[in-house]
Amino acid sequence: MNNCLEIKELKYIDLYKNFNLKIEKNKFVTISGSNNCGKTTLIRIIDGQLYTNSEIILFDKDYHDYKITEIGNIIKSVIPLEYNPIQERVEDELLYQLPTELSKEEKQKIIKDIAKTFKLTKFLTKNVESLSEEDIIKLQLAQAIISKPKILLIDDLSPIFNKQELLEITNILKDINKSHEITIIMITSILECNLQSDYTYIISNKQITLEGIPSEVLEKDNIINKAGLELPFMMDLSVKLKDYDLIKDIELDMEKMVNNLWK
Amino acid sequence: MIFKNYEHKDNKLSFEIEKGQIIGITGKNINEIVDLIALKSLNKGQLIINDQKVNKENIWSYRRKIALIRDSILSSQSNVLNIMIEYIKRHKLEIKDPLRKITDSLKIVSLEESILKRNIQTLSSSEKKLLQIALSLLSNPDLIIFEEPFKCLDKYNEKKLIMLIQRLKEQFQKTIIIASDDSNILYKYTNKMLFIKNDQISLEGKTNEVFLDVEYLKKNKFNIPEIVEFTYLAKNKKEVKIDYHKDVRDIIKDIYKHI
Repeated sequence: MNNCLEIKELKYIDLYKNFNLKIEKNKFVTISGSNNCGKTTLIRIIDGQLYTNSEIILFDKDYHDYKITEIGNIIKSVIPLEYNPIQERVEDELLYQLPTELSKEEKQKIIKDIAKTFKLTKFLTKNVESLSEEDIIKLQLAQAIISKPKILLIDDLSPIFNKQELLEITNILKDINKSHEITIIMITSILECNLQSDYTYIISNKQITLEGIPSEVLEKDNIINKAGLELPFMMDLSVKLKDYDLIKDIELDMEKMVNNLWK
Repeated sequence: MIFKNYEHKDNKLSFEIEKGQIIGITGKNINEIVDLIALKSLNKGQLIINDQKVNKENIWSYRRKIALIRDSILSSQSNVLNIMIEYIKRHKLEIKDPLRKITDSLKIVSLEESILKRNIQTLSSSEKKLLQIALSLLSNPDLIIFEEPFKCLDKYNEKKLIMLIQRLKEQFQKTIIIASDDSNILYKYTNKMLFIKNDQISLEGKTNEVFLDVEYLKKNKFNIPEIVEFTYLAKNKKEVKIDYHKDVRDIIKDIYKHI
């Protein structure tokens, strides 16, 4: 089986109806939906914080047959504003995530590399408490990644980062997804981020209303708008120009679009 | 509200917040400028409000007329009614009929009265935002400052909030400030802009004019509305005579005409 996670007919309070989800191994998946459509609840169900008796298959095995500690090793989640550091210093917080059997040099290298990736190097010797909200999230992501989960769940980071910062983080995660072979499931409300992923789901009316390759999913502008989401400007422009037969293919690059329109 | 040679860090700022406008503020460290406009402190220099000089003695009366809507203020375990009554007490607001004022404020922001019984923790992010506005209306402010008001809101709730902000301006004659780094929204909904760089006013003017100064905005690393950037590119690279628009549907019509 290529799927690492499969949720069938998810039920939790009255948040979902006919809700089915299949996540392929080692893919970078994004999920979007309007406010209060159950995105964060979905993260909490998958990482085991919330209980459902709905059928969930995790790596070909019934989710409910796993021990909580096993799920904790397989799945890590990063939820903004929910962080309780165990160690005082940033470096120690990262060290704490690494297996004890690694040599000191190996640990140092992993920490050095991940700190560089998330631009945390200058904070390594600092106290976690002194970090900004943005750097706390980067530390949470770094911690989760070096602990080598098979699935990394990330809740919507837009309360913390602006669009530009969020796109930078998404690009970093895209690289990590490929290089570290970690399946990433990321909740987003900025649809530019979805375009960076391999596969995307749109939640609306308690169920998955759209799924597929992001650039194809976002072409369905009517459904996207009905789901309370806003298309990125270039996507919106492309879809409308295509409707008017002014262009043949969706073009997300501004310069290329201008060159295509006025040769 | 006029700031003249008003001290802010190592700079002296001069700018005006005109009545009855929606003013956008963008740039780095704008929360410090927001605090300044919210009269969190009184600095050296001239500050004139309604033709009166503001000084240590009268600053309190002006401060009361300014509401600052910032995120994550509502983290209480209390219910909405208690929060609103507490707000009236804490701000020493002299209101004849507090319950009526509370329901009136909720009505303006389109929140049902039934919300009064609900615990803050059960409110959605958009309900919390509306409640913050309702709270600020209790003191009948002249100026309402919104810091990143649209962050975390979906399109539906964003539209609702925009309509409310426009109604506060038109129907209730409030002056509105939107501090945000979302240039797309600022371009679409504000009348005037202040661009902040290195704790100074880098650029100031009518929204329709200043956002078209693409070269300046690029040079100074301010966000440019994508619709402006696209039009600028077409005009400058291909010398196409399309106009600057705020809605993507209008630019499509213009492209259709010029292709």
